Amino acid sequence: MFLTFVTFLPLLGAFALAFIPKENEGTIKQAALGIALVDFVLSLGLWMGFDNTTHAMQFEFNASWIAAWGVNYHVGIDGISLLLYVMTTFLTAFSILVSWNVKKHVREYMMAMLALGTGMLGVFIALDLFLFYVFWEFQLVPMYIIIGVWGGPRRIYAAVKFFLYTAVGSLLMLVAIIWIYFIVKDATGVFTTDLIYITQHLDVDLGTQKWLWMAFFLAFAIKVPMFPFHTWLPDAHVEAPTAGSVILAGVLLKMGTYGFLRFNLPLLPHASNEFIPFIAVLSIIGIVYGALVAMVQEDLKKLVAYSSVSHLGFVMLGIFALNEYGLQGALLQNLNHGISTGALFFLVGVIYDRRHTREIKEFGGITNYMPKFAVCFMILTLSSIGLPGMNGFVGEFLILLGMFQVNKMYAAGAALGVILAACYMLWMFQRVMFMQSNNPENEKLTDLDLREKILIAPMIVLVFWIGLYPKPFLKTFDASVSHLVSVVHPDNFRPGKAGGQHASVKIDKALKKIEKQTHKKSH
Amino acid sequence: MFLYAWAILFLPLLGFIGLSWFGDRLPGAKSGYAASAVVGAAFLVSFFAFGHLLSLEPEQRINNVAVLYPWIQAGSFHLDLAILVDPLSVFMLLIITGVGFLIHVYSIGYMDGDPEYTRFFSYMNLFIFSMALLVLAADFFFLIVGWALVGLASYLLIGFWTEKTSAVLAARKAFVMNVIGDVGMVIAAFVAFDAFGTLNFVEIFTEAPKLFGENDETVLLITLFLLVGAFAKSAQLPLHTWLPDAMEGPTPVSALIHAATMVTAGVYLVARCNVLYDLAPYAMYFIATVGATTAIFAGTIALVQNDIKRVIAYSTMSQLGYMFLAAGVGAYSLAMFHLMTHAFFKALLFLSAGSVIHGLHGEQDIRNMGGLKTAMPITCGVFLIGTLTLAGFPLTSGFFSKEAIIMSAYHAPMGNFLFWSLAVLTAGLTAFYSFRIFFYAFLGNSRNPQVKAHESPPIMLAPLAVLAFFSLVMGLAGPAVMHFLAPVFGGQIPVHYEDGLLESIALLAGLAGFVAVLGLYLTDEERLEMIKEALLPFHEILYKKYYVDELYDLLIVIPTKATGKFMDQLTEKKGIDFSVDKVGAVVKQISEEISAWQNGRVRTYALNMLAGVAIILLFVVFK
Repeated sequence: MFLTFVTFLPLLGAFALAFIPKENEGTIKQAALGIALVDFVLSLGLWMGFDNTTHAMQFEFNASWIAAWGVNYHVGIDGISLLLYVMTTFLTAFSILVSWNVKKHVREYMMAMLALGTGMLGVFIALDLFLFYVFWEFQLVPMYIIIGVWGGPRRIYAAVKFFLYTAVGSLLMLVAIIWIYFIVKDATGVFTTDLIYITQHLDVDLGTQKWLWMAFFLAFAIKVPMFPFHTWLPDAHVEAPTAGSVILAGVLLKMGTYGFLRFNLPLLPHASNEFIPFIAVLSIIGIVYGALVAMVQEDLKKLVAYSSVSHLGFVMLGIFALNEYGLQGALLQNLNHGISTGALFFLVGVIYDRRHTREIKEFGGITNYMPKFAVCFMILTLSSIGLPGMNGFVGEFLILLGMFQVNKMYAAGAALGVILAACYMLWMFQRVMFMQSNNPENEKLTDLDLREKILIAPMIVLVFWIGLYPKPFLKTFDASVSHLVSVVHPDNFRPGKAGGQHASVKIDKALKKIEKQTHKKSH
Repeated sequence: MFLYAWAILFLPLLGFIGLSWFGDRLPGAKSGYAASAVVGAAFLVSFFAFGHLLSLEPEQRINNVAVLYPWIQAGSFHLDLAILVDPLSVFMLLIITGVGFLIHVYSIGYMDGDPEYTRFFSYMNLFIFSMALLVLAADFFFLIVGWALVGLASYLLIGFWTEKTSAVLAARKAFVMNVIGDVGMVIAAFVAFDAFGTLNFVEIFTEAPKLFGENDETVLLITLFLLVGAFAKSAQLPLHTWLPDAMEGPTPVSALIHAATMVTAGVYLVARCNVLYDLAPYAMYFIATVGATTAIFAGTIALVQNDIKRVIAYSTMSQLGYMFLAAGVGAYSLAMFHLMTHAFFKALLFLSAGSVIHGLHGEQDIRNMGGLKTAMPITCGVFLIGTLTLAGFPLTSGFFSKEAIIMSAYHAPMGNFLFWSLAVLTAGLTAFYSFRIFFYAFLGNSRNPQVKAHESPPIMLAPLAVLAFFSLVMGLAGPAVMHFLAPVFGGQIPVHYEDGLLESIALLAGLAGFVAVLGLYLTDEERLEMIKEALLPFHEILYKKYYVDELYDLLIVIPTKATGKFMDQLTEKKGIDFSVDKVGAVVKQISEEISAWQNGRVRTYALNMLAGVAIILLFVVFK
């Protein structure tokens, strides 16, 4: 029940806001922020009470909803969803404070933000396919409104594109859900959409697995977004208000990767193994392509958006390493991307608020006028590049380590992305921050104010915390990841081969040892 | 036992954090003293660790790991935050913190009056911290962390004057080159983890000889990928282009990072992994070849450069080539010995060049200098000592270390005539270019009478004197250094090869270089022009640094950018987006056509209904 309360609190808050008169903008903003903060603190309570040692669902709640179809209101949280959940409550509060200066329809804006919060939280806790689908579609609406009403000049185009892309994907997912529903019914005679039950009882041949996999894949790949389904993202980011971009990068994209972890891998493990090369190649293309296109962008927000395509390629690569390093790295990188890219979008917003432009060539020498801003920007730039000591590095290292065990060439290809990231991020940084400003407008810029400092401080703390001491984060993933690996590990699907990856390495080593000794003796 | 050695890391880290947060509140030059003090304290701790090691039996001096806390745990992968205290790391620390301290003190004077004085010192502390982390790391992971942080510190310091375009570009170039190296290191670490199931140095180095034979594929992969990192950091071919450009930073930075410490990281890495390299003779041969080639490559370029710092920068590259040559022929402790003497004389040269630039208010072109020996007598004296040491004048420290390397290049088991002759030729070139700048800058008459040169303040001259002293005498410490380091290199002490003939040739080469440049100096203008005319094509190639930068631009930078542009314009906008929009447009058109039927006219609706009924009827009848 507690989990349900935390999830629906923002929506309740949104309804409550409707009763505050429109003119009391200050009260509305404070109330919205208060609700979001309380929700964040409550979600921290979930983290405190979370048991790291089991992969089982926790804080579970199950009630019959539509009995005739076997649909339940079933929610729960495990190591895979917990930190995404906490990050969502955090970023919701963050975004509300980010949009403190919103001018137009303040009350409606805050209501949309809060409703969006509930929609996103629901996605991460739903343990019923139908419920998941409802939340999945529900969160689209407030996001569509936020982009469409409070966005930039081409907001309608971007909002419609965003909505249509995602809707097409989710339709296919609906087809797959219904198909699974009937397969399970045929196999066990039970009408149910319960995810846990289905995960345990779904047993289909490889051919069907592949079709189902493809349907889920499209829905989630669009959301991630993977190359070549990514073109909605730059438009959505550029047109969305700053807070919208933060949420988009921080949470919405994570729903895609979460979908792979919750559906494709545990439900369709054999197909997931079959599709490793497919995903790996698409991810690497995404990593390199995103980086190359980011390099030539003139618009700051677009550049960061394309860097997202590149970063999410890393996450996908980690997931489909299908081993513990890769999955842990991917889960951590999910958070890292939310923090670093979310904060970068915020900082771009800061400078946009002051100059009303995001064109890189308009800037230059900013470090002289906004030194604190420049330092924050540099830290997040470096975190995005994946500099050791900061969060991005730990994630990328684990992902590449995991992928390296699967296929050395994939890992090497992805490593190219790290080099390119250094190129385009530093090039951007240098053009915005360094050298002489040739635009007098820049000289009038004022440094971060108190609200902005309060916003950026936790992000920087997280960058270094995860970078220097990632253990508390990795520990929450541990049990769930181990369980997931035991389900999807390639060795389960290879005839006549048992034992984990390392067992085989050890055998190889032992063989080599014997070989060497015999070699020596023969001398 | 060595837990206190963590202080070597924490002191400069504290300095960095303290200065960057509270430095603005310190008045005037206080931040410079504070930064110097933490580095000095770190030096004292290093020195204590040195004494501690000496008090132990030689076999107890290695493999001392001090764990702070377990850092990461993901599956069977776990890592401790740990440092490795052994003769090699302590030897490096003494150089890093010792020379580093002197350079910090010097900077108090040099950077005086810079508006960003505090920021400068906080970066310097960050650099010392990163470098100490690099050499203290007990596993590949933290080695890479230190490795990358050193790259960052160098990025910040090269681009310290952010409004200077050339500095910013040079900083980025250095960072990107270093990231290429980082990626190589990361891949090497992966291969090592794959093979050994751990990243820990001690475990890997004990396991390696048991698991792998000579030139085993895995060992070759690890060692060669490590070299990508080593060559990038130490500016060896073909990853060298960042080092000369890095001279855009303030001169103390050039001295600290691009002479005495950072660039030596690659040599340290090879020495640290000597167990692996001993198993990979092919890789060793490769190191020696690249080292020897870089030595002569950089030596030739240095002949014709006119920027005083650039000449010294190329000489750094060339001397690093010597170190790699030594490591490549298996004489690791000779490489470390040359690393030490080089740290002294190169820091000396850079700092006295800095003193010259300071005295001339920013002038760096040697063609505009001259006659400085009267205006700056002390600087002139220490510069001469630096020049003599660099050129390997007998009984200076540079003589001992370089001569030993040249002899090993021929006589060591892996040595050969080619390595030796490249090394000797480079020795000749070294004498030529080092005396060329000395003659140009300090002798004769001033070529630019407008600028009134002045001697530098004592706070800058004192470190110079200390460095000059060490440059002169530290050559005598050679045998002691090699004994101290021996436990790390499996107890090996390089043989000192006696070969009168080869030794004399090497000395003669140096002498020839000196005589040549003296001859040129004494030649009158007219003949000089004639010689210049005759050698113009060669001069052009050397002056343009063999066109490597242009080549990289043409082969890598321009195509990459073009690809990005192409993708942005074509695949992105005309390809994917166009097709998506097209689908949207078609759907829209269809729905418009459908909606045309819903035009609100009852007659159309009736007609539609009639048609529908007719179709259903037909279907039912003909079923």
